[in-house]
Amino acid sequence: MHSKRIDHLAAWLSPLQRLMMMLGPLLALVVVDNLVPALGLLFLTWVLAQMAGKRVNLFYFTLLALSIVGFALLNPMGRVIWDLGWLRLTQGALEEGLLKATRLIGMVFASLAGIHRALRLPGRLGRFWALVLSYYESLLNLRKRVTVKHWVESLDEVFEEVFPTNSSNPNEPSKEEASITHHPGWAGWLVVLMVWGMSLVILIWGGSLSR
Amino acid sequence: MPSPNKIPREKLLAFLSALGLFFAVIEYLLPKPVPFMRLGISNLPLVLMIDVLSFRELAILAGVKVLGQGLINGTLASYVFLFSTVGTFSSLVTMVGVHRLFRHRLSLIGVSLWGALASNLAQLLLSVFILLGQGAWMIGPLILTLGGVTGFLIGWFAQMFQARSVWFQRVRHALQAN
Repeated sequence: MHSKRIDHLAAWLSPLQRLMMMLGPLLALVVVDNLVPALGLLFLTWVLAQMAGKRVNLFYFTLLALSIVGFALLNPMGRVIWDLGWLRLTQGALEEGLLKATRLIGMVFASLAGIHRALRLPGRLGRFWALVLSYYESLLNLRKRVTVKHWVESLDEVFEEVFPTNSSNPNEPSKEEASITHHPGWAGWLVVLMVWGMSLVILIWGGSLSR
Repeated sequence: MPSPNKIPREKLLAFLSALGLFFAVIEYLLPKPVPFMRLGISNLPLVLMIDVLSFRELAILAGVKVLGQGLINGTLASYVFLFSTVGTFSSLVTMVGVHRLFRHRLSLIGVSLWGALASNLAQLLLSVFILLGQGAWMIGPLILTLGGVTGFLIGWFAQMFQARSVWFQRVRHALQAN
């Protein structure tokens, strides 16, 4: 059974501040050109994703990393470190594969930590998005009523309840969508600055900004 | 059938987007043979509504689905979002294209198979040029076969639902009367 994860970042950061916080490590992952600082950034983003209460499936990401590295090894480059006969394992290809995998996975972790569903989109799109989320919540709440044996009938019932077609006033979706909107406070901006600072320090320490 | 009620198109689009989102989240949780590929289950509302909504409305549906998927799953700033966007829109354009070309000669299963093929080919190309390099062609047959299976199932599901759902018939009737 899965326990409910606690979003520790919610106490400090508004959805907008979260987004700003994410941009630091994300930009750093774009410019990093060395495996060691990339691994540092990966660790930082993993910690942030954990703090955001996101479930990180290590098996999935290990498989992803292995497939990226595996495919990179098919294009030999640089010094041969292991010759299997049918495959020459080269240092350049291995390093490039590892760097690419670290970057991509780090970006996913940064995204997991920085994107919050309560992030308000501007204008008409924002209003439409709020409506979508309301229907989504209603569908989630009723999903257990769908049965495999009578899937059409049970889906019909759920759809009719969430979006009625036989009443004069099509359903207004439930208003329970939690708009977790914290006003951006100075403590939140401090956290944003800290994360940006840490990303910069990792880049400088790894020598990615000195080349 | 009694006289249809007016259905606000914007609300219907929001509901269908939510449905796409619901399937997208299920898809995200399903184990996949190659982690970055999308199976396309979340395209079900697009297939279902292909002969009911305009291209613009279908594009809104597709756009909200990929954006929502990125926001809810938290993958908006990652390669997953790119794969999802390219896969969804290439599938949409292909499905609408073949549906308009062969309207009465192609079932929803055929439309969905074409959509799956387009989506998987686009994602394969992205893998070659962005993620994995030329070696990605090796997984092409596996991806296209799996895409074919899910494409068939989605098309079959949509066809059955269109034929048997009272809710769908009411929506179609109301939209045609609007």
